[in-house]
Amino acid sequence: MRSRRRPESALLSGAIFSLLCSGGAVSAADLPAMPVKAQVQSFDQRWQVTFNDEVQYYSWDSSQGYPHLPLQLPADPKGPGHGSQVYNPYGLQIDGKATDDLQVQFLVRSGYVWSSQTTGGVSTSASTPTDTTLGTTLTYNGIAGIQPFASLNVNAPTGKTVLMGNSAFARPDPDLSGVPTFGEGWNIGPTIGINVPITAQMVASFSTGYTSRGTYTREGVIPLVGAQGTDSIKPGNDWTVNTSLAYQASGLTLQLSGTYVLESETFIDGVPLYKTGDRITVSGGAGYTWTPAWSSQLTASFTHIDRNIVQNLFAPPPLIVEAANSNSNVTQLVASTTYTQGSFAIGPTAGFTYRDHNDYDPTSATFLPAKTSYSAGAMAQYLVNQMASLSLRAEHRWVHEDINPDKMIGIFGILPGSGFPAISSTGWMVSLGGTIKF
Amino acid sequence: MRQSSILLAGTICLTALLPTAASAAQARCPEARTITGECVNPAITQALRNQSIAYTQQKLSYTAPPRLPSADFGVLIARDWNEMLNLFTFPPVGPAPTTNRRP
Repeated sequence: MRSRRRPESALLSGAIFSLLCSGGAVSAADLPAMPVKAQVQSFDQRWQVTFNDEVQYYSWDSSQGYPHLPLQLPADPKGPGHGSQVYNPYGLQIDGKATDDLQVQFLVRSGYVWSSQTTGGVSTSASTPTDTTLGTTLTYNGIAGIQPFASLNVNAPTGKTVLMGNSAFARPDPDLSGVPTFGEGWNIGPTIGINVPITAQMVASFSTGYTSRGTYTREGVIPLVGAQGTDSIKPGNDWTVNTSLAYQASGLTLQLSGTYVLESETFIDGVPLYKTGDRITVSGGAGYTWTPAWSSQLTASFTHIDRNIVQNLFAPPPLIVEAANSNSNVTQLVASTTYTQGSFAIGPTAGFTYRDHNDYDPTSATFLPAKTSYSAGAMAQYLVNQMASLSLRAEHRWVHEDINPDKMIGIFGILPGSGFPAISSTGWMVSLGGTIKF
Repeated sequence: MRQSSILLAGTICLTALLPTAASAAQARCPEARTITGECVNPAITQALRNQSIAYTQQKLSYTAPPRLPSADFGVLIARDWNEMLNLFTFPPVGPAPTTNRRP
């Protein structure tokens, strides 16, 4: 409530800053240095509706098409790959108080995606609505020293999962595009947790969630016939525990988080295919408001996945622990600085992602080389009025994947041409968004 | 007489303090409050709640994760390349001795 006594410009600055910091979502940068106007409004008004629409355009050029298929036909030129994607997600969120102590949030999110790609001499495209997520979160504020919350989200399969013919090539490199696929099955995700305020400026959080992922079909190959058919995919379910600690005072925000994920087996046509190893992620972030106009944020995360359990050629048992870890460690860094003047905010952004090579021998078909991605760009936001804001974000991306050596093919030894040279890619991302609150 | 004075003074004090304590207990905070009743910065609890949902539902949806789209750029969740390469690329998945068949 103190923010109501601040000058109007400071209010607008706080609102813009918070919106730029990902709309009050996840990282330490999400903990704005100034109280958020929208939150003050939620306290004064019992209900608030937020509609957000983003149009994201991605384009990329690579020295090799994606996916990087081994043993391509000699006629395949292995020429450069390129593509583009327009991803248009939109969402409606309703925040309110059912009673003085019970907060309620409803979320509906869907979208549309157009994707085209040329890879290995094949050009193709696909367009479809995305899946639709419906969610609700209940938060109880009636207990001093503890804030329990519960959430239930459901992914409804409104997207396209079967891409027949060459359309499957429209699925792009996840590091260069907005979405790597266009649909899944019915997924149901409950989460429960508690926030434990240690002081008014420091809060610990403990939560756990389960993601039940439903079966869906996608294109496949009919065994022995070789013709294209469909397969039934049942992805593994996830059980996750998360703990976090956040602090904010005097313009400084700090956040530390740890997440552990257990995943069950993934099945194809009812047969267990693999079970992803346990996944642990440690992330942290810091933000600082240098002056009322200038602020900076830095967020980092590190993810490690244990060895998978894979199909056993000499079953039973059907699955065994793989000989080496086929997963890579992933390190991510995101930094930004924001200058706010009146209802306008602008600032540079930078990102870095490093996926190290996996533990398999480089001459193994299972070897995954290291991949490094850099991004640099800028973001801007304009608060049109008390209800509406516009955002613009543009980034250039540089991606480099190390050489993948030729492969050892049993008694035949190293097969020339079965590997890949280092792959370099560049790309653009431009996002235009609008948010209306009423 | 002295005991009566003390009792009277105590009663007056209690009478004066009770409404304060009661009003403190009934004070509304925008979100959570500490064990001592102090209001917690709502930005912290809201961000932690959103973070909890994002991190505990990492694979709920690749195309429509459970948040507003404007929040996507603030979420640092590493891609599961094992899943990317097995479920989302060409050629289609099939029986294989290892999970990561594609270099």
